[in-house]
Amino acid sequence: MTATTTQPVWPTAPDASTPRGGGLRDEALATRVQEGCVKSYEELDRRYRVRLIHLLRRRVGRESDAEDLAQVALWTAYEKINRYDPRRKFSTWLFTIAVRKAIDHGRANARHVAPAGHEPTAGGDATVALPGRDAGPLQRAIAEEETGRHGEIWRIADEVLKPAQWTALWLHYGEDQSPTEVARAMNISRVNARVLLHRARKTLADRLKDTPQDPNHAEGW
Amino acid sequence: MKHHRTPKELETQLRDAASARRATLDRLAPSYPVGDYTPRASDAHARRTGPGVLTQAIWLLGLGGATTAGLLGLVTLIGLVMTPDPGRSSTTVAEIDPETSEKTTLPSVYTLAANLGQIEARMEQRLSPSVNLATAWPARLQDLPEAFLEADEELQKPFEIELTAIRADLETAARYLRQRWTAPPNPDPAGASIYPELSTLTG
Repeated sequence: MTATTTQPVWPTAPDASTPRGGGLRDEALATRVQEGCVKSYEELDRRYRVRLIHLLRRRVGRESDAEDLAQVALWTAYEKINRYDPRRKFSTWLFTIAVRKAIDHGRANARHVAPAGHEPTAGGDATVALPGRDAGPLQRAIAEEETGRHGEIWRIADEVLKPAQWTALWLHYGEDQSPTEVARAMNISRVNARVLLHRARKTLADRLKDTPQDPNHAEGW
Repeated sequence: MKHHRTPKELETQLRDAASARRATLDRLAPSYPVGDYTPRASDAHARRTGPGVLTQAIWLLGLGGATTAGLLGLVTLIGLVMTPDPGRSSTTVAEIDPETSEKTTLPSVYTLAANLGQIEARMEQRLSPSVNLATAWPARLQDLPEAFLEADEELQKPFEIELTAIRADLETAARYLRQRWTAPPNPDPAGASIYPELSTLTG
């Protein structure tokens, strides 16, 4: 009971592991993959590839690098699918693999990709802080979305949050991961995950207090 | 209009914005090609005969090796400490004795332990608890293999802790007895036992 009350509530998709267009849950598909069903993994690939690219671009900077890393993460997950425990969220397991690939990539390429002012720091931020604005299809779509009323807050998050903070924030609000699942995905303690979320929200609130409030949001408050 | 958002307002705004971003991602998803995954034909075979069985075999071999090593260590230790040699001073006492000049005049721990009751009667008092603990070490050693096998992790730890405790007890007992030990005035030149009745122990 407590687990359901503490989970983030999605207005349009209460269960993030169920596709919005219907179909089998991720966990059921993963179980089929464990039994040898390639088609089920192709469906998981369709569901997660762009979400992985979106998550990874914040850590590796270039969208093309994020695409490569997403491919590596998906391949790794396919190869290791027998290690997945279907009692847990497939998304958390996949994000864990992806984040670890990004950390490895960041360690190997930090000097190469880090732009000025965003040099590696301690605590898992040894990667770039801002996604490159070189326009891949994802970046173009995001830029278009950011002109809308909902896009501003994530644009500001891109600008002011450290990669680890941004990753925790997106996993929690964008991927419906509980703080415990965020911690598991990022290979950090639960306390650390909560601290990251708190600091990310505080940083955003401080930044947003000087910006005009969206009247559509303000009406209900 | 500028507005200082409350935490609840920020939470709502984050969720709404995340939902909008997810909708953007869902629209984009079909435009990305799916990876070319080949059937993992080796999986079933691997599950039957591969890593699972191999891991179990390695684990059992490792456990067996560790157990054997532990038992061999125990046997060696017991052999070193319990070797009855009444004609000479105890190797164990000598080893733990920093005063080498006394090595040849001390009774072995084995002898002392075997005659503890007699010693206490002569001294008309109970001996130090450390002596009692030291004389109980054979039973404590017998309990070691069980503790050793029960430990899933840090296999060496209970073994080392117990050995350290036994060694400390022996050292304390030896020190206690040595304080009350007086060398016989005229050792038997023929090499007979110098403490047949432990008459040289004083209270």
